[in-house]
Amino acid sequence: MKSSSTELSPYSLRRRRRQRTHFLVTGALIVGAIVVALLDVSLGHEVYGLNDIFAALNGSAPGGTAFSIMQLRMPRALVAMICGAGFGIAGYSFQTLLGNVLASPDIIGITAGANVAAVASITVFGLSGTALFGVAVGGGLVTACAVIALSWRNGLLGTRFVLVGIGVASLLNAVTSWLMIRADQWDVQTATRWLTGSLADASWSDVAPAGISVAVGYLCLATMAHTLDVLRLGTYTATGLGVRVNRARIVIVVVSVIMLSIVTATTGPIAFVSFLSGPIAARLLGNHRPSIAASGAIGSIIVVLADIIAQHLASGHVPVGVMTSLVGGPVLVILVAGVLRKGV
Amino acid sequence: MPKRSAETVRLKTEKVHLGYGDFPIIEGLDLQIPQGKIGAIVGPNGCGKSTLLKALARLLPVQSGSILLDGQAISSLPTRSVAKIVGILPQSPSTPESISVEELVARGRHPHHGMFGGWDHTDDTAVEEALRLTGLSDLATRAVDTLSGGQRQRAWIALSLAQHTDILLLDEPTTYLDMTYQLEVLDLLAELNISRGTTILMVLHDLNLASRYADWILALKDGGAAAVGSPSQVITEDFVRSVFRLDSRVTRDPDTGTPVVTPLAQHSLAALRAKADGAA
Ligand SMILES: Nc1ncnc2c1ncn2[C@@H]1O[C@H](COP(=O)(O)OP(=O)(O)O)[C@@H](O)[C@H]1O
Ligand SMILES: [Mg+2]
Repeated sequence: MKSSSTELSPYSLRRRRRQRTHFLVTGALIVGAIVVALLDVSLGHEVYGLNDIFAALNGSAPGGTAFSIMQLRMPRALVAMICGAGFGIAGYSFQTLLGNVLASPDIIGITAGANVAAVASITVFGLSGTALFGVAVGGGLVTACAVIALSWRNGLLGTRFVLVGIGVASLLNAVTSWLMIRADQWDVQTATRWLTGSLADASWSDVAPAGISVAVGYLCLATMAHTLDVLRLGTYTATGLGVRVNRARIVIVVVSVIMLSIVTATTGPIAFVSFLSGPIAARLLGNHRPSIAASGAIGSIIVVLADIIAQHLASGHVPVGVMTSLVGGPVLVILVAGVLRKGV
Repeated sequence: MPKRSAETVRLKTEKVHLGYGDFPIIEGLDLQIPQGKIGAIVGPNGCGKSTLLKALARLLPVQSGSILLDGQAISSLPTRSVAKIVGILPQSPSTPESISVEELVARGRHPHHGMFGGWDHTDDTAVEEALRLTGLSDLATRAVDTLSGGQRQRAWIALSLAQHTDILLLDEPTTYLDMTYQLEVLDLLAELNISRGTTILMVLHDLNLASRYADWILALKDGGAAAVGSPSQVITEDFVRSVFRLDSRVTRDPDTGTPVVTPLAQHSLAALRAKADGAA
């Protein structure tokens, strides 16, 4: 054995290089998310510089500027960032757990499950507040469990899972439409907030609940990052490597669904963010690197950028979800076409 | 059962019943796995070889009886502690898309880490050694799904080697390999047994290879053990007839002295042609 630490073996050199790249890329993505968020705050009818933003933050900006930055733009940018991260992280953990990029919660019906539960609570049972919220989380969890149970076959999940999920999603969306048609005018307005991804109503009161849930969700999943990677080797191998497979799966699903339901309750389902973030992170970092933080940062960047485009470049008030669909839709079609060509 | 009183045993089964649902596969098996030896499990398809191996690695719960590791029920031990002692290579492990050989092998270090990883020099050394022993150092950065069947099998064996367990269970490690690779894999396992003293128990289909490479053989048939003992004790003409329903001649390999099973001449093209001609 060589005693000198300068003589590293080729394997350990490669590993160190991968690790360094990993930290650099992840760090750059987080910085990127902060930069686009600042850009979101600065752009608008009136364009503010960094100095205005800092002045507003420490309370020395003039009234109009301070109001515009602190009350309108800052909460909106923060909510975009936080919720984007939540969508991205939840998407990554589902895609990794199920070993399929198409298995993101917005595609396999989990978001649809939360929505249908929320809309039914509003329009049929007149719930609001925490009760409404609890029902939505429950709807997401029940749908996740149902899709997993329906597609389970010797523990092997894959395309089958995705197809079942897509079926469940369309069914639930049909139920949601039916509920909306039957609902009172007043309830429809409240329910619509659940169904369209929009940052137009974002306020400071949204920042803390969403921020705390994404932070807690991230920390829980980060402690399981290696477990999540080992789970990709299949149930038997993962158990053989000391993973409590069922417990790990349940924890990952429950944490992701709760986090996802909270961010969905905040902004509505912003289409395709969950689906796009993980694969982009994998492209940048390499396929088999734990990329929870990177997926979160990419989710933030996507939502904030889409919001900037929706507000300033597109004419009129385009909801942010429409912008993300314009990008996500074609990617989904390409990926599905690829999967079908490879054979189901 | 041969006398093994002098041998140490870490892993054993006591009156173990295994099966799926109401369907019993193995009933009341008592098995002691001698430390530091190589064992082979043989038996016809579907007799429960994989089932037994999975149960020994706590991948399958027992229906009754117990599986003991160092005297304690394996199901009651923390799974991570078990993973530091017992490694398992399942029959057809699923390889994630586009994972590189060295990243797959590195996963073998999982049981040695806490929640946040904490990779150190020992881990690097373990991965490198596993790559070297399996002859994969030059293929370390290749994607596993671009390798040949034999190389892929060696990559999975390398993962098990990197795990550094005292006991290693392998389900058909030589299936799908050509003869040269089969021998290479078995040589590798024998060397591992010699150099590290690793206890090995593997499912093998080829009775001749099992005889060449195992200290002891467990033969299974429907319901449980048909025979346990050294290769020359277990592999006899009567045994092959009763367990595999095959008439054969058992001779000794001139070089190794281990049993060699040759099916009788009636199972051959020449004999079948002659029979067809005779009938015509
Ligand atoms: N997951 C399972 N569920 C139900 N039956 C199973 C399962 N796995 C194996 N079996 C059945 O158990 C029996 C033994 O299987 P196995 O242990 O895989 O045999 P082998 O000796 O070929 O490895 C077979 O009849 C098989 O069909
Ligand atoms: Mg088998």
